[in-house]
Amino acid sequence: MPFLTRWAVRLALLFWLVAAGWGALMLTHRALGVPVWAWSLHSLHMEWMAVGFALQFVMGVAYWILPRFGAERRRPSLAYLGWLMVLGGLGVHVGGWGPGRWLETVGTCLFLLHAWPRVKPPTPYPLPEQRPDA
Amino acid sequence: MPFLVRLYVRTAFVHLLLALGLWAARGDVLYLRPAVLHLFFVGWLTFLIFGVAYWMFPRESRERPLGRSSWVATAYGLLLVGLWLRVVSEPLTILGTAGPWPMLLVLGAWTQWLGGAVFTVAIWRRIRALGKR
Repeated sequence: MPFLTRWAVRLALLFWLVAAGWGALMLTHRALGVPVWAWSLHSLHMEWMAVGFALQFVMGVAYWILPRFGAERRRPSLAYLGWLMVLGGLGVHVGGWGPGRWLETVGTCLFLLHAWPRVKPPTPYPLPEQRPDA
Repeated sequence: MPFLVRLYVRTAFVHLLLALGLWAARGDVLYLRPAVLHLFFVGWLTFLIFGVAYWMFPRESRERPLGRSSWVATAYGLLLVGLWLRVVSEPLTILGTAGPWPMLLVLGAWTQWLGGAVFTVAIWRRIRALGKR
């Protein structure tokens, strides 16, 4: 697993725990009487689950398993920049500032620019008798 | 595919069908929306992602390639019980039906969380560079 995958997957699992924990906390407050602050962060619960967990996990695993060009993943800087922008967007969103969603969107676009050419047929492995040196 | 992977993935497919069916049949009913959303996000997406991760992540060791299988099985049970406690008790809580529904809803939410935590601990050592232990 490359560095991006290891950290994206770890962070995605941690985002799942934070998002699900926050959801459980909201329901606990609902059952025991609802303080306003718990529900005011309801949108963060969904943001962490959809972007922090699902999108980040998918990005991490896609970077790892999509077909490569020989041993190389071309233009890895696009994938890293996209992933960092998604993380930045999540952080900005927590702060309640406007451009968080735009950072996530542009970051995802950059990641897709990296991934697009990797969605391709596998490089054929020549059978032993078909190799030029056979 | 190992048995536990098949269980996770098939459970995800069943939850997806249930969520889509419920959405199609009663999508306009407000008190069912949280249950439908959680059938999608926990029942389908989380079960599918956890199942595939358990299947294809790097092996933990030669002796124990899939890692702590009993923990992954426990996580499956906790997630399933938690999700269904929630799916049943949330609409009844929203409707104000008499009974222990609010407490079951809270119990379901924390049971789901515990399932996710157990899975995270179980899979953590398999998130590594290939060839490194």
